[in-house]
Amino acid sequence: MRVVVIGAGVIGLSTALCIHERYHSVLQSLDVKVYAERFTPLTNTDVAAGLWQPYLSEPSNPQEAHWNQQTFNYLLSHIGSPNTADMGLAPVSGYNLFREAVPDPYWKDVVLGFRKLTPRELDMFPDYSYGWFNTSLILEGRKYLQWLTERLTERGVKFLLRKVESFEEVARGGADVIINCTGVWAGALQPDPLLQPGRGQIIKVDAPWMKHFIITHDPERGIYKSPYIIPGIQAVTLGGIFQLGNWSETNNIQDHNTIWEGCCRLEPTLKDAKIVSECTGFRPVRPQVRLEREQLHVGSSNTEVIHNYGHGGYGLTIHWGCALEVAKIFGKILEERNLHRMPPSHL
Amino acid sequence: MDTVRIAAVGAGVMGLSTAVCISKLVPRCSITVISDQFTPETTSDVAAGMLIPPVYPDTPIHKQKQWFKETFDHLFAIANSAEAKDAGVLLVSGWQIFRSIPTEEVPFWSDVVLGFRNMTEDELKKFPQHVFGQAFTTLKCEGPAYLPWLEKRLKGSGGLILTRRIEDLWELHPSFDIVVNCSGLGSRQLAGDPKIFPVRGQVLKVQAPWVKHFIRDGSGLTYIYPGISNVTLGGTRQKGDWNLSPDAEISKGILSRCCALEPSLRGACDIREKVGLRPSRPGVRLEKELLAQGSRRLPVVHHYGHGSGGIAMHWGTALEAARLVSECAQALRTRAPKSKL
Repeated sequence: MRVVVIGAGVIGLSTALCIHERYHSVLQSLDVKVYAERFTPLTNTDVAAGLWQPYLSEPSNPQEAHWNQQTFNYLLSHIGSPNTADMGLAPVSGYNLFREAVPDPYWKDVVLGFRKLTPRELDMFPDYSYGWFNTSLILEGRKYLQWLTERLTERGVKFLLRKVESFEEVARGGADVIINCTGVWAGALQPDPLLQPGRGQIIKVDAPWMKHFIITHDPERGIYKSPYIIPGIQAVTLGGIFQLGNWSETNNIQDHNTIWEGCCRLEPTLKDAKIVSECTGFRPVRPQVRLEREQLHVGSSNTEVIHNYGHGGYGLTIHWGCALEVAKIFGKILEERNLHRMPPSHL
Repeated sequence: MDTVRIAAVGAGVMGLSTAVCISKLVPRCSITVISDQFTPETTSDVAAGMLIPPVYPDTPIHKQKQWFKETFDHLFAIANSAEAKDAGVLLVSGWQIFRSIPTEEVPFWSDVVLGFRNMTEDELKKFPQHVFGQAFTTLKCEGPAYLPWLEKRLKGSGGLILTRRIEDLWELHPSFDIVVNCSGLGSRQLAGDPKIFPVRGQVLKVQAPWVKHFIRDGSGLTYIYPGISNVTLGGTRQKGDWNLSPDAEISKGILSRCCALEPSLRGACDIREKVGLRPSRPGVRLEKELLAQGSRRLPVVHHYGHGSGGIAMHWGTALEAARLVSECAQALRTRAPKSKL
């Protein structure tokens, strides 16, 4: 059974790991390879700040809420083991700020210690009059991808630097199942008018006195268009850019100024922060995640494609729930092909 | 008497903050801080500087609360200003956890810190040996940055700093009109005070930048305090122990206890051992004393004995010490007004 995962961002690597963990012991011939054009540190995952936090409004597909929660619980279960820092994982608390009262988010009971901000806390943020405090998790993209790569390598999963031109090409190469984790570039393999880039730019600074995330919201402007400050393990990510349809991969000076001014206004101490790096990435924006099966007829055989892309700005937040769902679909494919009759005991 | 000459003995957090308060409060004075030890060699430099106050058995609670609140408000303003990094002040959230339900579930300072509440069941799952906990956000004020920041402000308002070891407060007479004694443990000798004694604290300062929360065991013996450039792991409370050299066995014990609370600390590196002697006393000594020897008089304001609550209480007690100094200055001026021809 030859599985090819296309894409080596958080979705590709976590899906590969999830499938391998669940099926390698029940399937003698399981062979998993990852094909990608970009590996860490050049993926969009590497640009993400890595805070677990879904969008504020309920997703159009209720399964996504469930996948978000599964991911949080999965990550939380690692807290208490000695190598969380190697995974890029750490608990972090912080503030969500608003200019007016808003309803509590659907994920308020998923995160820890969710509560409203007290008046004295709001005094710290003169531009805002309402907010939340909660404890969540940081999962730093780069560190996590390195960790996933190590886990996959230990399992004998091979990585190939390849620009895939079509599913057919991969099918003709011998793949039985293709997992499409091509993120924002999925349209190149199969046109998808629902998929768009949500360009983001971030500045990473050295500001180790910042122990909390601070995320501001401006409902007029939309998600990620308002300043945010998210501490990572070593550096702090400053952001606030979300441009739908913009494919420009280079850093933009106006965006730099927007981020810098917005974040320094929010947190005056940042004026002393040294800039470590600045990057641009593309959130793979879609009204909902495309997570479904498709059969390709290549020559006389059927190749299964499982799509897993379009996670917008919440890829790290939702990744494991989606990986589990793909693994479930994969299990079904195996059953249909009579490749294993019993589901693995740990599912 | 025109310019009142004031000497502050001691250049830890008490000496420097009192000097700064005096320079703002007492008109027409000169202030000189005199010490043989300066940052980064003072007790204040070893302290983690977390604003979680202890309880002084001999001081009324309302006073302790006032001092803590004044200190918190002062540092909170700095934390929210552009000076926070220079002053070494930052906001930290975290948990204080207990192995058994404490007698006092709501401490006197619960409404001074931010967002104080009991931990939820889910939050306590992270600490299987503990049955109760409190979550809140407080401040950390780091000596190695804060003390130089205070020195700078002192010099900016004309204050002087002198390196000298004082063996006897009378050495300051007649060069100075008023002495404010912030010598911490040194008061055992300088003030002949048998009530002050060391409580030895050993800590480790480590690199573990992924730790963003403080964790403190309610007993006060084990704690993890993330700071600007390192994480302080502690600790010990050894009464009457004057030994300033780190003990390797104790360091192992501290690391082990902290890793039990936060297993990711096994990845901590660049571990440095530090020892500080908390200047402990049943209550803070904050009072005037008029020293007399023959016809000589020397007004002294004592300001020492904060034990483990130095950073947490410093600004409140410094303000009070400055008020006492101001009273002394008033008294001197009334007795010896500027002569008019």
